[in-house]
Amino acid sequence: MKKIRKILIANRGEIAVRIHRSAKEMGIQTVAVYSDPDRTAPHVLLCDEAYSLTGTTSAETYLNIEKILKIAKDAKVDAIHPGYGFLSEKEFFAKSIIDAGLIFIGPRPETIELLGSKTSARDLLSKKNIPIVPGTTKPINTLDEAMNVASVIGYPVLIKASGGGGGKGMRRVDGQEELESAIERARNEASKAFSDDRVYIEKYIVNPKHIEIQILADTHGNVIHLGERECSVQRRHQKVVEECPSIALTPQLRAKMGQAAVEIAKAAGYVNAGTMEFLLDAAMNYYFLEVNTRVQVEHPITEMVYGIDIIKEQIRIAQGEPLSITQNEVKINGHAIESRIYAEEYDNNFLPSTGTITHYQPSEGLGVRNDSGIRVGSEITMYYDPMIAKLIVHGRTRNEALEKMKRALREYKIHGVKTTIPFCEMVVFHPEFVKGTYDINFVAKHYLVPDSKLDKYESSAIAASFISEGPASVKKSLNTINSIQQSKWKLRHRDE
Amino acid sequence: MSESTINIAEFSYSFDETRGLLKDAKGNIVSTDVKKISEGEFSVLVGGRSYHLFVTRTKETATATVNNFIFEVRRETERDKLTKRLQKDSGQTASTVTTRAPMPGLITKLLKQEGIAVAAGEGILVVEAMKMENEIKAAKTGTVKKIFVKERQTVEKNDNLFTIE
Repeated sequence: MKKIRKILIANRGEIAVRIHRSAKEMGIQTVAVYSDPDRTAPHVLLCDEAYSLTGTTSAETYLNIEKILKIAKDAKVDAIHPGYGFLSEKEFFAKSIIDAGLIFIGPRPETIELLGSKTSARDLLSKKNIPIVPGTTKPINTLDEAMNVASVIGYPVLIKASGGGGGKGMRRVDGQEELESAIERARNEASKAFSDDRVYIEKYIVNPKHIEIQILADTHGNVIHLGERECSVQRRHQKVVEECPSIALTPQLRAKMGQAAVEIAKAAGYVNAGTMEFLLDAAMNYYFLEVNTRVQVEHPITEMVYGIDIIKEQIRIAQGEPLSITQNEVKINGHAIESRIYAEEYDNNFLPSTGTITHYQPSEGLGVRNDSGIRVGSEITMYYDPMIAKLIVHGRTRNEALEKMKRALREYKIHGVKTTIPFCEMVVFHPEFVKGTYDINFVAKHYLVPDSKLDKYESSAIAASFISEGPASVKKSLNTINSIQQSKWKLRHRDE
Repeated sequence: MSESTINIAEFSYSFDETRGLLKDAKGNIVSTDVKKISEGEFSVLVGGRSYHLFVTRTKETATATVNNFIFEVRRETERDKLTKRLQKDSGQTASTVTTRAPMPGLITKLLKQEGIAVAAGEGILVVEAMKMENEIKAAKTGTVKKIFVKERQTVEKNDNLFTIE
């Protein structure tokens, strides 16, 4: 296969920036694509070239294969990296790239199709003796069928979208009377999010941990795993805080689950980076959940612990090179934690928070990594995913990583939208998280709503800043510096 | 004289604008060292404690960010207080509750029509934002008096959605 010299990044936000960085370090030219609101987004500013997708909604822009392919041809790229979300798990996108004579940086289209449909993945693995969560291996067609399945496997059950992830199109059902409306709602969401309204039913495993295994597979038949990530801290079935390694896994269990993931990859003829997700119950039984046929949002914690750049490996694999490491060379080094920073109302059910970022100063220091897709002036709109940045820390021990995350979250400054930072702080300070015994019901069980309590010093600081901005009646034309000096003088004077 | 009250969460300050004097609820003078770093960005020292905070001001209100917590700041003039007192005296009680959009989004479904009796917590309509469907529920038990929106209509944050009487 030919060496890649130029990559089009078919994505936006932090992952577009992330892919750009690895490509540049490999001496590869980068091409950004952007929607109208993203004209000045960081990925556009950073990439060597940038071309407009003309339009605002995802459907008009980042999901528009025709426009993306036209740009790819005009810009003479060798390969396209899809990132995550958008078109990353659409086999027809991968196929149309290959048909256009370009390299798709990801698995083969037929693998994406096989594993992307959760039902066919379940079907395949049940034949390979990989434990799967009880449920249907095919999409359900009628309510009667759903009722039968649910009563056989027993409530509570989960309704899940065949064609997607991220909690969209997912509903927990505790009894038969809720089934019909839950299916309808799940179908609606699934059809909007993935243009595929097929849903299936799975048994709801009580209090499991979410453990996923990162794998890398090249075109020469080498498949390795890079251990696990624990992503049990979820709200609305979306991950918020992840860690690597998981406190629950012994080296033996890690090797066993890692081997299971490698077997899944081999059974599916998998090539490139992928993630096998499992549920791990209290008795350390694991059940296969699904395969994510793309780079994961939380991939950096694995990179920090294993010292491997997953995006670079993806590019190497795509240009036909063998893996740069063998399973024996994969060694755990320390501990990493990621906090996802979403523009959401931490105190109001995580509703989207829109606005302009007026101030932005991410944390720094030893072992702190910030992968973000925003800058001062960024407009956070309702059009795209609300995740704006990822804060990742790495320490020699879990405890060091925890303390680092506490420090780095407090240091992080964003003004303009509400973010999940106060929520992430609650998580890393919580005794159950500190102990590591949490499961996927952690957020719901503890009802983690940050208590935005002010003390008298903070409130005084706010009041003083507020008045130094000048009362509303005072004309804005007042020289700012003068007004500050004046009010300061007054305050001090009165103090004497 | 121009004295106003500044309310932040449960704290209340009085500010004498002519003399530039800030006092807490007990009447003690609040002494701070405020340095503006950039537009809306401040370093404030309160009795030696250091705060790096952000304030976006719009007329009588402001949004302040401290340690990524966001607080609303409200400024009340003497006249505001008088108006409030008058309203209270005239015995107005809120027998109707209007629910506003908690976020910008698209109305995907109306679950109830005007004139229907509903119980508190019942879903009235569905707003979709960032591909998530959010059911907006009745704030109180009563009758749906008015629905301000139609299906497929986009709404901004704080747009009126419906009124329950």
